[in-house]
Amino acid sequence: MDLSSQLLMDLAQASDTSAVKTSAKEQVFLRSISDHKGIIAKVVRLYVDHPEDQKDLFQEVVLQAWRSYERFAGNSKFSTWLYRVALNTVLTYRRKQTRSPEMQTTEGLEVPHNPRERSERSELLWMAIRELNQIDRLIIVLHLDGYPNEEIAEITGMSKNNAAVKLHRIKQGIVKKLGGDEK
Amino acid sequence: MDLRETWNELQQQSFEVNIIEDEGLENMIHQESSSPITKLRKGVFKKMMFILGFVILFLAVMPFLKVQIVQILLLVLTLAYVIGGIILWQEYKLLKRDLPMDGSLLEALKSYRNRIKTILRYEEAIGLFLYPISATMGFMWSFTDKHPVSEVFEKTFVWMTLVITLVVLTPLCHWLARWMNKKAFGKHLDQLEENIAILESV
Repeated sequence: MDLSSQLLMDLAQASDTSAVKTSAKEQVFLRSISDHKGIIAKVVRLYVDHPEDQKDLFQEVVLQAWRSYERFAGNSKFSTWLYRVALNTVLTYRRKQTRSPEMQTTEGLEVPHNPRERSERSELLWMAIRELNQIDRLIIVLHLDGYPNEEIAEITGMSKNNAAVKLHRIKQGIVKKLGGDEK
Repeated sequence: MDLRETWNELQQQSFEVNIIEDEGLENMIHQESSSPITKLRKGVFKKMMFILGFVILFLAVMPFLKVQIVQILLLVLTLAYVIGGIILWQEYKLLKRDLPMDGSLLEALKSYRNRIKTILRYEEAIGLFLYPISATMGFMWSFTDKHPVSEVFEKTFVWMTLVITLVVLTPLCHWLARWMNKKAFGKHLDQLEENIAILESV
């Protein structure tokens, strides 16, 4: 938590009126979300393709995080907590049938057109990740983002050993799909 | 291939664009959730409003009934609706509690699904007793409007018509109630089942 967030938190605790408390708490929360919105955006893009759906899911994650914020005691990092909320929100999200994404697979070597002009290998990695089931997607992304197995386990709600075994299998699968040796 | 290096490259190429600007964040925390959980809860709330509407309607109609047996049947129906409404209100209060989005979801989702399914099952089962009562009440109300009860039920034709009405209407209403529940709750419950299955696979 940065200094300004700490100041706002102190203000919330020191304040007498509940309205000011709520407002200060809200400000702290919004600032934290603003600082970590990349996490939400990443999770959202990991599961949803359509821009409108991405906005909807982003909103839902922020809303669910706000509703759960009361229980955030600071025992874990805000980013870890937010990942967990984001994952749970994805798992309870209403999937729209009408705007289903165009599934792209790593089958065959032809890389589909991509408006953002990713390199071929990053495109293949992205497609390989998108082919994984919902939990596995987050596990590998957290790993690639440098999260240790303990935190991956905490976010996904599984044991550390289970997370490590799963991660190993996922990595093997991806490397096999991409036709290379893992470094 | 170095996965981490490729991932970093991918992030630089794809994730730099914001989905939402900061100004929009404040509005988001005051908006309504669009999760299946919220949709299911809303469905239960609508059921409560229907019950309330019917109770008001029954109470409004009651003073206009002249035949005692019709009054008694409507009273039974009203009481059943009131008791059902109170039970539903208790369930609704439990459903209104937020899910632990920052904790373990599986048990909470299972309990939510079971609660909703139980509500629908009980409603459909209780309906099987209430449809004959309401059909009989409506039947007697229309037949006894111009003739006394004893006179009406002396005729075999009237008895036969009542029995046939009950035999046809009860399963029909039951089927209709199930269809309406499937329409209102089905896809959200299916989504919930799907979410539970994903969590169970972890």
